Amino acid sequence: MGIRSTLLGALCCVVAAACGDDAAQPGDRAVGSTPPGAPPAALERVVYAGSNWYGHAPAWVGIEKGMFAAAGFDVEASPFGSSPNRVTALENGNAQFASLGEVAMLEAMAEDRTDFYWIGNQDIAPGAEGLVAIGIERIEDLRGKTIAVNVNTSVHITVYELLKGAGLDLATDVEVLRGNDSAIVDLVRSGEAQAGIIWEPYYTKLREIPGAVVLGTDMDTSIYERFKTMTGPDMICASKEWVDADPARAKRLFRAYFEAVLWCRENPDALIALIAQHVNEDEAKVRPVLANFKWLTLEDQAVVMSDAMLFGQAQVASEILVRMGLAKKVPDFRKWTRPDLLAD
Amino acid sequence: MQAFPRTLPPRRRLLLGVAGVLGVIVLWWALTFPFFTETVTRHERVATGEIVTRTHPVTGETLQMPVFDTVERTESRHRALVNPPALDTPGNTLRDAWTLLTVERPGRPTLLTHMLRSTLRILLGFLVSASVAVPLGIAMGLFPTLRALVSPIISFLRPLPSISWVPLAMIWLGAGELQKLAIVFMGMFAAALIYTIEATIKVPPDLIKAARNLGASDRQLLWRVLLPAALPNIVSGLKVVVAIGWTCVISAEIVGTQEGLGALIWLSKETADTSAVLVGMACISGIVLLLDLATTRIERHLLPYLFLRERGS
Amino acid sequence: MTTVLEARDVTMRFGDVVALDGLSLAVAQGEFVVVVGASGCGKSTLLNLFAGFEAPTRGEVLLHGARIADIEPRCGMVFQNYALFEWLTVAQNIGFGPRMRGRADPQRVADLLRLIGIEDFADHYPAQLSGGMKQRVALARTLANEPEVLLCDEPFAALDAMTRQVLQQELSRIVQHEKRTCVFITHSIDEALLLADRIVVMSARPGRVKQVLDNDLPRPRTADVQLSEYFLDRKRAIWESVQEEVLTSLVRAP
Repeated sequence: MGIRSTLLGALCCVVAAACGDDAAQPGDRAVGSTPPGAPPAALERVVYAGSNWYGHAPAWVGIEKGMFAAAGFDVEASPFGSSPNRVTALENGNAQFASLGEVAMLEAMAEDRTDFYWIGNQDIAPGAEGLVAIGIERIEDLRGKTIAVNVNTSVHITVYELLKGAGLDLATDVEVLRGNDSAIVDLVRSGEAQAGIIWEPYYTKLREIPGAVVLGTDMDTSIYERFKTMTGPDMICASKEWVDADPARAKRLFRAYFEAVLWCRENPDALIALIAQHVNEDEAKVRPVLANFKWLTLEDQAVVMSDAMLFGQAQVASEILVRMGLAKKVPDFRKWTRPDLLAD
Repeated sequence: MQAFPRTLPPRRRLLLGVAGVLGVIVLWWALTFPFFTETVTRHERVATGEIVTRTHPVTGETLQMPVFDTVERTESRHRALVNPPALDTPGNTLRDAWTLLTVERPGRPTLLTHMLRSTLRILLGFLVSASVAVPLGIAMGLFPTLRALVSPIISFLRPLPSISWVPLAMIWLGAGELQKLAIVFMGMFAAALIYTIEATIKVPPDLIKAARNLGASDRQLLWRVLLPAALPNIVSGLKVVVAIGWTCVISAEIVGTQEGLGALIWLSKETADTSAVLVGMACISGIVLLLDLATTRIERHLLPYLFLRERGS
Repeated sequence: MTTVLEARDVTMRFGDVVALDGLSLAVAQGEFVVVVGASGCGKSTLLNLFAGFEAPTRGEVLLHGARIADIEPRCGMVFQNYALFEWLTVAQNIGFGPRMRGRADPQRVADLLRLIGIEDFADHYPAQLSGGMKQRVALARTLANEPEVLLCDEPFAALDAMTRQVLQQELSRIVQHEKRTCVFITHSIDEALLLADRIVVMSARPGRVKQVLDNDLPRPRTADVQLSEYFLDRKRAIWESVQEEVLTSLVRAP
């Protein structure tokens, strides 16, 4: 349950209490004592670590459309900062499952951190991040220039791949300026960097800078060409301790989760409305971003979690992380997966 | 034996100091020593032999996919009370420090580069802020009118932590060296100014009277008495300011740079490389200590009279 | 005898506080005048007027008959807390005044070092000296400026009793040797009797001249003199005069 709806519920309680028992009708009292949408006490409370990114929509759908409740869970979607923070949240039990960036996941695996599982991949949204330069028409011309990068994330791999495709080495042929989200836009706008790479919604802002030229997106990388996936898609991960304590219970949770993913795929318009309401944004702004999304259902996971897609991609991505000094080794990431939890 | 002795003999103080440091290292070692053997279950993927037909979600091609199940295997591993990434052993941390110091990986400069870069940023920021703050501070110390005019602005600037300048500096100056210089400058400036004003005001009035009485002109009073009399307090204030510079530079290096101890610490935190964070922090302490030693030496040379004890009788 | 320094009907107010009220005092050439009074009687204010650090609210302060209008280097001041320049050596401190006025004279500095018996410490810094040594340097620094009048603001008050005794004798010797005019402030009657040609007892605030006594004790004023009946009689007489003022100031003290 989102923070806002929790607050709303709390507010209802307060209002109901303030009205007093005498004034309240029997029906009102029921609303007052049980906040709207709150499940009966029998449901098991589970924390989902996420953020405001649309890739977390299945969790919101599962909560609001009742998939979790039907499976016996009271899920709270809680914001947990950046992806590395969410890995830590799973490890120390602050969250039971999460969606997080692949780079953070692979780095944790490279550090032999085994207290979490890699369950699957709920969506890809290629084309939502791109390399934008000001007044430079070709990637080759970036040699010796400065690129603003949100390092240690998918765009770091994307820019590495894009440069490699043009015969440049990110480590030696260009200067990298570190920045987060809107800082990338600021760095490029102020001219500190001649190019920048970031995801939506900042990617749009980058393209709006006068003279902006899109030099490539994650769809122009060899990773996309080979594995038809992003350079660092959103992963569903889970706390190992929680899963191992009761694998059947975990199986129930992920079935419910993937039901919500399926709902996302089948109800695009309703999803836009739900997201818009959830992140407090105009539907018109949500719609074009969501157009890039491809929801990957339970059925798809057999292909997604195979050498044809993510395993192949994770191998390449890990090698790049090692090459860039962000990870110490290429982990045996298959050891973190639990195909049995997704089986029929 | 006194219950609350004021001081200890130097030898004893040194021994206790060493014991304290060793204590921390031993505690660290004990916390990270793999005393326990823990059996963990890992799940190995095993093909069941079954094949299912699936559609590739992107290309739409039809694929024959093997079905996997998992077999539980137990692995035993050594565990300590505290394990990486929370904290690695002293030995591994030292090894990582050595790697950071000697191995230059593409996009990751060596520790020496980080240290030099941060130190240079601080020194540059220090030079700029001191060269503005010291003259202004002396003038404010000497002229109450100017002091009254500028003080409210300083009172406004002083409580602002350097990190609070980061957003504004980024909007105005981007995220390059100029922004870093600005953050370090703003963090140091108010403190340097206040120390200088204090030092100037605190010059004993009798010294000024004595100099006047001995026939010093306004100019001579300023250069021969006020400045030398205020200098020791200005210098010790500036030493504190240099230390403040480290908080500033670490804030400044959150974004827009790959070089500098701040960059190292922030990025290592992202990759959960605790050893590198610790090494970066140790470097800051080390450099602050070294800088302090160096400035004290310069002080000894420049202001020898501050380091003398009474000898005559 | 010619009058060198003179305060004529001087009144000094600081806001509502009247520090000096119609005080008149003339100091003759070569005379050693000691001003005694309870604390807060305006003794230091009087010296500040003589040195030109302050101007009187009413009345006149004259040096050789001319009004003192600005800081007057011819009236050299010795401070209770020495006010030495910590960053200068002993020799540089002593040479400070002449140097400021463009008349550096190393020979005079050397002579003064010898006169006050600290030639071995010429290159020491004040921080290396004891209180007694510091006050010697401060005295030499003031003398180096060749002042017409030496103004001493309780210069020995911060010293221990034995050092004080030695310095009192030295000051006496030096002032006589250099034939200086001297106005010396103290709250010690013994010190006054030991040093003065003339003793001025000041009343409690507002400061006025309460009593003027000529001190005809024979010089040098050795221990024998200090234990003589005559010495003790004078001490008793001054104490009675001062006691009243001390009591008044105690009652009135804020």
